[in-house]
Order: sequence, then C-alpha cells, then structure tokens
Amino acid sequence: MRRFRKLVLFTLLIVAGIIVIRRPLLIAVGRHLDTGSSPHAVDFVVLLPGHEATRAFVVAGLVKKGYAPTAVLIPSKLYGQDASKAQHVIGRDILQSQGIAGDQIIELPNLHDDSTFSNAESLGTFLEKQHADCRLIVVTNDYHTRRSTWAFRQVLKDRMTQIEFVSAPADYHSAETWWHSPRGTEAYLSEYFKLGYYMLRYNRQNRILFLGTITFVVMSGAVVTLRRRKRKQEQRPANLASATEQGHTA
Amino acid sequence: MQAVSIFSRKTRRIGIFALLTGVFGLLLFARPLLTQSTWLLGDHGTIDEDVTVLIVAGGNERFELAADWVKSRPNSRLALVEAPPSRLAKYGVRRPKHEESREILLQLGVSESDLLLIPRGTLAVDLNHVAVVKWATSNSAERVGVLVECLDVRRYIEQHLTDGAKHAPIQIIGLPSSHFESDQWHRSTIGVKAFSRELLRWGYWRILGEGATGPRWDEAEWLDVLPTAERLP
Repeated sequence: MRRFRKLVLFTLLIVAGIIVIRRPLLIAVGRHLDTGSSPHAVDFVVLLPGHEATRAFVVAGLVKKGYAPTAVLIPSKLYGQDASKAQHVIGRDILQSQGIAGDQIIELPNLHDDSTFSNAESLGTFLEKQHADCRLIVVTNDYHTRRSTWAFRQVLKDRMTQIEFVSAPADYHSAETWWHSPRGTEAYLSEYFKLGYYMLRYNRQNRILFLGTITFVVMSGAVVTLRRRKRKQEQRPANLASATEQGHTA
Repeated sequence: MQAVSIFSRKTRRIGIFALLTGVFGLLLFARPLLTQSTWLLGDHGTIDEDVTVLIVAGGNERFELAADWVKSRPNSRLALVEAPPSRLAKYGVRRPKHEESREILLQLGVSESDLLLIPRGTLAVDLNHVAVVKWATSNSAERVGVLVECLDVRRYIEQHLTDGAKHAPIQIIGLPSSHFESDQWHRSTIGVKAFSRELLRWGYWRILGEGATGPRWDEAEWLDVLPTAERLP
C-alpha cells in the first residue's frame, strides 16, 4: 500500500510539473516539427502540394526576390470533376497572380497519389533525368518540414545536399500558439501521428527496430513473471515445512 | 521474499479479466462499432415541415437537395453564411466560397429573391455556427434548418444547444460526405482521416470550447522583410 501511495504521489508530481511548464513544453513540441532554414539562391523553388494559400505565396516571394528563376509545381490528384480545384492549378493561379510569368513555372509529370513520399519520388525523377547538379528550395508549411525532410531523405539519399527546406508560415496558428485552437491542435497532433506512420511505413530498419523492441519487452516481461512464479512455488513448501516444524516445537 | 507488484493478486486478476474481456469485446463488435458509430455521424433525417430557412453549409449533393426543397415550398428561403476573408479572394485567384455556392444554386434554378446571406462580421474562420445562432436569434420568427456533412452533425447540434436557446430550435440535417459513404468511413483513407479529425475537433470543443484562432499570416509583411537573394559560395 505504501508503494502504491508513492507511485500516486510521483505521478501527481510529474503531472503538476508538466502543468507548470506546459507553455514552454508545448512550444518546444511545436518547434520540433519545423526543420526549415533561411533561403539561399538556388536554381528552382518547389511548391509542395497542399495549403497553396500560404505555400504558393512564399514560392512567389522567393522567385520575386531572386532566390531562383523558376518555380516547380508537383501535380496533385484530382478529386471529383472540377479541375480548377486541383491544388497545382490553384498554385499556378496564385503564382501568376503574384506576377510570376507562365514560362517561369515548370509542372512535373502527374502522380498517382498525393503523399509527401510520392512528391519526393517525383522530384527525385526530375533531378535524375533532367537537372542532376541543380540546387532546390522546397517550400512547405513549418509544421510539415520535419516529415517532408525525412521522406525526401529516404528517397533522394545523397541528393539531399542539393535541397534545402524553407518553412511557409501557416494561417491562424504557429508553433507558439498551435494548442489555442482546434485547427492548430489538429494540424500539429496529426503531424506527429503522420511522422510516426511514415517512419514505420517507409523505413524497413525502423519497422524491424519497432517490432524488435516490442518483442523484447514482451519476452522480458514473460521471463520475469515466470521466474517470480517459480521462485514463489519453490518458497511455498519451504515455508510450509518451517511452519509445521514450529508447530511441533510449540 | 516480498511481492514486487503494488496490486494484490485479486486486483491483478480482476484487471487481467477486464482487459481480456475488453479486447475480446472490441474484436467481436469491431464491425458494428465501425459501421454504426452514429453517435458522431448523426441522423440523415428529413427536413422538418416547419423549417422556413435552410442554411446550405456542407454535405454531398447539398445544392441539389436545397434547390429542390426551396422550389417545392413557397415562402421558404435558402441561406449561405458569409465566408471569412481569404487571401485567394483578395488577389482574385478564387471567389469567396459563398459566392461560388450562390452561383451553383442560381444555376440550379433557385431565384435570387430566395437566397439570403448570413453576415459573419468579425467572427473567426471556424465560427460559422456562431453566425447562424446570432442570425437565428435576431430572426426568431424563422425556423432554421442547417444542411451539414454527416460527420459534423454531433458537434453542430451540441454547439447550437449551448447558447441558451434564445432562438427557435435549429434543425441539423446530416448529409453524406462527398468522399465516402457515412457507414463505410473506415474503409477509405479519406474517411478515416475525416472521422479522426472530427473526433479531435469534437473532443477539443467539449474540453476547451471554441479556442482562440490566431490572426491570418500577413504575406505582404513577410515579403517586405525577406532579404534579396545571396548566392552561396
């Protein structure tokens, strides 16, 4: 019972500590997802599909300020019949609305799915076949840069030295305020979930490590439990014998 | 030797039994739990007879349904909630969402006089329901119905109930999603994502309320402070 009280007290202390430092803790959780860096002059600026209302404006800004002469669009899957709602079509419209000429925009071949991993594959093909030595800036939202960097590293491997990620701010929330609204909470929490999923889904070593850890924990638990049980069983007859002996003596 | 566990043997046995029963129950009822999780999905009910203003908010085929409804009922109107200011609209890339919806309804034969626009004022981006409640309160003679996507039904109903009912009761009508069958959400990635997202939003709303949505990113300010390019050595 004393042990149980200690455990409850320890848990309460941990929870109280977390509550006291929750703000810096939550900010650190948010900032951990942002691996973007300051931009440098490159050959192409790539717009990752999704959230065009922020990312495309950053791409346009970088082209306008001379960081690259050309913007690259990765086509997204079309849901429904309305082609004007496709993400890359909106992206192109935004770039043009910001004064980027049509001949400054390259569109990569179409893809089968919209995942960040398949965007990386598409860009890998572009680098391999057409522009082996070029340098690129990839623009995505701040909370999406860690997963993107990870996915791109799996696909592009050594070519990652040619790529830098630049973070586009998100509308309505940031790493400092993400938990204030359901929108921000959803964005950041789901990003952590997706990061974990990607790390298991697209990396064999991680899968082996994960399964190995689980197997180790389960096996260790089983061995400890069995040993304890065996020791108890061994002690029981000895205790019984000593009790009988004491009874006889009395 | 002293026992290592902090729980008694009886407690441990009860715990293991409860855990096994729970896992077995989940496995046994996995299918009905997934297909009939209507507590979040809400009913796909029909529109009440006394509804006079129908708000077209979300759901598959909402425009067709709303257009047919308003044409078949004299003295009834359709309403759209004014969309929040958008960067795409500001630069002329896309029109505000309510204007796009309005055009679709006009193309379906709804007359201009049967369409209302509910003003949102300075309300933040995710607070359409607050605009609806405000409007319904100041127009309490009207009985309002809201067409929403099936997944939003529970949150909408609970949000509308929290204002002390100063208006006539609002009917929330859930429509199937554009991307998945409502009872088959667990079979598609989009469905699972949408369900999880809605579960998170509903949970957030229940625990923390509406929250505080921050300001929109200022792209002009960002561009002003962005230095011109420096080439790497």
